[in-house]
Amino acid sequence: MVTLDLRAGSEPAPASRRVVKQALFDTRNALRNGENLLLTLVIPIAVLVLGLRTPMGGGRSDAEALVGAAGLAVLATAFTSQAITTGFDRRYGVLRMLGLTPLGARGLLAARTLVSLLIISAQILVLVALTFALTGWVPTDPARILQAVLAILLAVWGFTAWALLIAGALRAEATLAVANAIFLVLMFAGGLAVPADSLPWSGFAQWLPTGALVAAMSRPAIAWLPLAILIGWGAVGSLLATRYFRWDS
Amino acid sequence: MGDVSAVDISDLVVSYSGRRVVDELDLRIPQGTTCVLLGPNGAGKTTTLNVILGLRRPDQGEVNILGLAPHDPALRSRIGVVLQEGGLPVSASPAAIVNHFASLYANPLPPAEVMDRLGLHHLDRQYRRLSGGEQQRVKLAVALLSRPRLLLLDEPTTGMDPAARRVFWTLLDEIRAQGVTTLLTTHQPDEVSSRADQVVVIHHGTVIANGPPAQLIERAPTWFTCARHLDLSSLRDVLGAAFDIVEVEPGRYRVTGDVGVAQIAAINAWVAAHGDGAQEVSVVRTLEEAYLDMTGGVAW
Repeated sequence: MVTLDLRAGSEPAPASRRVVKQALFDTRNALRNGENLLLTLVIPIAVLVLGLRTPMGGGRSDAEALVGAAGLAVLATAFTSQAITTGFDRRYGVLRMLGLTPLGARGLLAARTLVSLLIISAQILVLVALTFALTGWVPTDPARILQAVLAILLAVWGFTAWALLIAGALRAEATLAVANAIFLVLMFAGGLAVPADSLPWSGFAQWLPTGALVAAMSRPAIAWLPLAILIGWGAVGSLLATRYFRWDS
Repeated sequence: MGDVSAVDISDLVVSYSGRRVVDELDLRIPQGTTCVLLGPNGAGKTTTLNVILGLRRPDQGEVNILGLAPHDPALRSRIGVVLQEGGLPVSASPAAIVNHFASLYANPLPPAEVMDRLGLHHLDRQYRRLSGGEQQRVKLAVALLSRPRLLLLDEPTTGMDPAARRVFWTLLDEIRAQGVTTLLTTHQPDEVSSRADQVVVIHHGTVIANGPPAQLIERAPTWFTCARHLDLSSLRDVLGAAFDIVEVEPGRYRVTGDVGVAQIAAINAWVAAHGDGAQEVSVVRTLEEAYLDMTGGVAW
């Protein structure tokens, strides 16, 4: 029988390694989850293909269809998937347990953000490759790409904050329902599945985080207002999450 | 670190919604010892553990864990924890969980060794699909990975079958031999009576008994069975005012007080004279009986 030698003790692994290991662990778990894959990959791809190949896209250009699908991927990953995963991890005591390890609360938040960025990067690559395969078009303007990346980063911040707020304040089942409901509302009313300017509430849609994200990713010039709107959503979400998030259910 | 207690709590008060669930609790656990926390549900055991883990800030009192404040990040690699409920990702396999938690430490126990020791190698199902006892073994594996100096185990043997319990207690003996301090809660007092250095009984948020198991067992009542509904006054006269005798259920009597050899002989003689002669005085005292007596429960 093996004797476990505890006498040496152990120091924590370096902080960066802890965060990366946690992010990879969470990413593997997310990619093994069929419902999560449907939400984060299948639905954005379906919206992209429908937008590029059928009239259901509302007469969008190839670039607009890609932006809508990319925005949907960001929403699905950084908000809906994050909220549901965090809500159930909280219910099962996983957050509490990880908070007791050297990873700690900050490390866990960093890892969860990194998971979103890793998955979103893969989603965007798949969506761009698919757009190219179906239309022969790829984004090439460096300034627009840079602005799109900035908008996505701001959106990930805001969506993650709101996801944590919901997951940290509501029961897991309520989080599941609310996160999916908000996903559907923002998908159809926030300028993702159909162009915002074709909606009767287009003036309102631009103030939503998804409306601002699509606008910032679409415009050739610097999109000051959409970027400011994204910052506003991120700031308010962070303040509320800091106030109301609870690690324990 | 030699003189520093593993756990040093004084005058701890924790309240929820104005109600004190831990009330001026004092607890000191020397390093390298095994301490068992007993108490009815709601007595304040888990709240005390949560304070030790830094999950709950006390409303009053001093708390030092391995010489540090409970929320000190340095403790996170020195404490191993088995939480009573949940704590591990339910969709991952035991191997994935153990390997992942090991990766958070610079020099963890080799995951394969821990898995081997706890019989986890053959479990390739998701954690949520394991039995309660199997889940407890995975939790224990995770708790040991950091080679902790203090183990906090909240109901660690819940759901384990007898074979798994035996492995668990053997492992705990081995851990104690290496100078690791263990604080555990359990609802099986007799299981720990031969292994604990210290037993602490908490009731209504405060310590009502604290000492070696043998000392607490001395406080257990003595039982005897005899004919039903006997007039106990003559036995009270024999034993004296320092002893109390109660018929707890028909034909089953409890004697409280410092019962020694002389009293047992006197009870035996009295039983022989008043009963049918078939029953004997039970002098088997257990920690469970002592605990139930202290907390106002009955032994069955």
